[in-house]
Amino acid sequence: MNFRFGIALVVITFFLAGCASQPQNPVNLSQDAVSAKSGRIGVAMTALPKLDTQLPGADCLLCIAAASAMNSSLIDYSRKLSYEDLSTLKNQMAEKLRSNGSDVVLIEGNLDVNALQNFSSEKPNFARKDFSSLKKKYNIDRLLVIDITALGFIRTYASYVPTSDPKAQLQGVGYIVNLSNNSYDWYQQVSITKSSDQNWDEPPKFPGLSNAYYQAIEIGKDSFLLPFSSKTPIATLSTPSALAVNVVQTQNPVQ
Amino acid sequence: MSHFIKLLVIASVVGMFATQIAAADDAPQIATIVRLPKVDEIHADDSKWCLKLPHDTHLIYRGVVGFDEAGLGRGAMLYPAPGFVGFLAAIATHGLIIESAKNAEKIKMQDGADKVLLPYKVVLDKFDYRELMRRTSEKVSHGMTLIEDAEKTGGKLLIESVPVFSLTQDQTAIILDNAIVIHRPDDTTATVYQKVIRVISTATKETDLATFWTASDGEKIKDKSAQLVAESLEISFNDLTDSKTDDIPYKTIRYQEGATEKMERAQLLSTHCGRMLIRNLRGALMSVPASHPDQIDRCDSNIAHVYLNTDIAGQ
Repeated sequence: MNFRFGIALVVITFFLAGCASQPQNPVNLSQDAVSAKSGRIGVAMTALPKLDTQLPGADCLLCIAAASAMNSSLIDYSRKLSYEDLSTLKNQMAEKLRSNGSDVVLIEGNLDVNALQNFSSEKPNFARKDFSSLKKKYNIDRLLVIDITALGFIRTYASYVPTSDPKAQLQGVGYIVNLSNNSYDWYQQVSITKSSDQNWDEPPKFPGLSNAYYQAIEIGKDSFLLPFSSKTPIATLSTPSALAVNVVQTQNPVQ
Repeated sequence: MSHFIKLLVIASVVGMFATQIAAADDAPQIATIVRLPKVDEIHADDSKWCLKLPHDTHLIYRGVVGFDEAGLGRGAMLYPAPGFVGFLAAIATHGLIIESAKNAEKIKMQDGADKVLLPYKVVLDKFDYRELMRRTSEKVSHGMTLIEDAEKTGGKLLIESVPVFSLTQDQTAIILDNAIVIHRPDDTTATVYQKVIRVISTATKETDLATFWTASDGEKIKDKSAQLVAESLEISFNDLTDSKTDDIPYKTIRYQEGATEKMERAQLLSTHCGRMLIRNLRGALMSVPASHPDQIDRCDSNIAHVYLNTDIAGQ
């Protein structure tokens, strides 16, 4: 019995360890990556995510059904929101780089990172996709990518019961890949949540949450652009309070 | 099996219902914003106004608080289910507990934010609605009398004003949220205008802020509060007679709330002297300091409205 239990424990541990992947820690912007002498830098964005309402914590099937029914009008409304000018963030990013003296190539269309081959490295701060093929394709030395992964609203649940009011959210990541070795010259997660300033439950147009949504977009754009607004790394900047809590910085910068 | 699923659905609905009931009981009371039909025969510039003094003259001052971090997070819950009734009771109890905890968290956050007002307590405790409106009536350009009895308006338009003030956490600016209701002169039970107007003062550049606001028995904070109310009333007078703004596009507008940059999805109605008048998605009007006042007009705009004639610039 004990032997079987031990085997089962080893197998479970093996599978759980296999599922867990090391999260990428932030990498402060390397000034060498965006200087006039750093070669050509491409700027690209991935496709914007579908606008939606996320209900994390409502995990069982019936919980999901109940939470979806409870928030049906908000879910429908979130899918009708506008991206505003979010798709032009790469243009703004390119403009910032040019003002810093960089030689910039704006990559049209959406970059499909998932279509790239996997890249494995024992060292930290290397991209998990192999971006090297883009070096020749776009004639660039580095690639800046803006990847917005979630946009809309979020409301946390504990099974059937909501544990928070809905909030607007923008989740994403920005990074620069050195195409000579596939390492990160910059890696920053952006996680914005904004609550309604008053009551949130105002169907059908949810003005409070709509306002929070557009605030999240603006703060998100600011968060991506902030490291390029100055040659000082973001960790040492005195950020506006609206941004300070939202830019994820959890590790010492890579030197 | 299908019967069991139906029971589970009913149970979840009961849980949601319990949550909604708890939320409704504890939901903060906010002023309703209703855009009422215009009354053509009313012309604000030609009218005389009177403001009804309430029986409760207590003024509300709060600390500015944000609820972006509010919430209890996600998590799974295993419900004890000795039977169907027990299962329903478990979900309902869970809903009530969570809702109670959410409200307690918000109250705690507001209480924490209100601590910014501690240096002002002595001054503000002696500042009441009557004194505020006496000061305000001296600043309103249209002229306004204060009355005790709503039945004795003497043919004037009757205003009811419920101001709520907030002090920014950096103490550099005061925010007014004024719920304004205007009644017909001939029928004080009929409402012709009802709206919340927010006015944010331009941040003061003083360094010792508590001393600045409370000096001379709080003259600065009292005077600034009255200026904000006066501006909100001027805005409502103009909005009553001229509010054709449907064709102005909404955009995300940046403004200052003390030293903090804020944003609001709104229509930009006018700019003047580094300030903006905007209409937000709720239809509420906001007079706010621009984030980049050098990028808008410098007190010489032809489109500046008369309601900005009171000087509420920083000290």
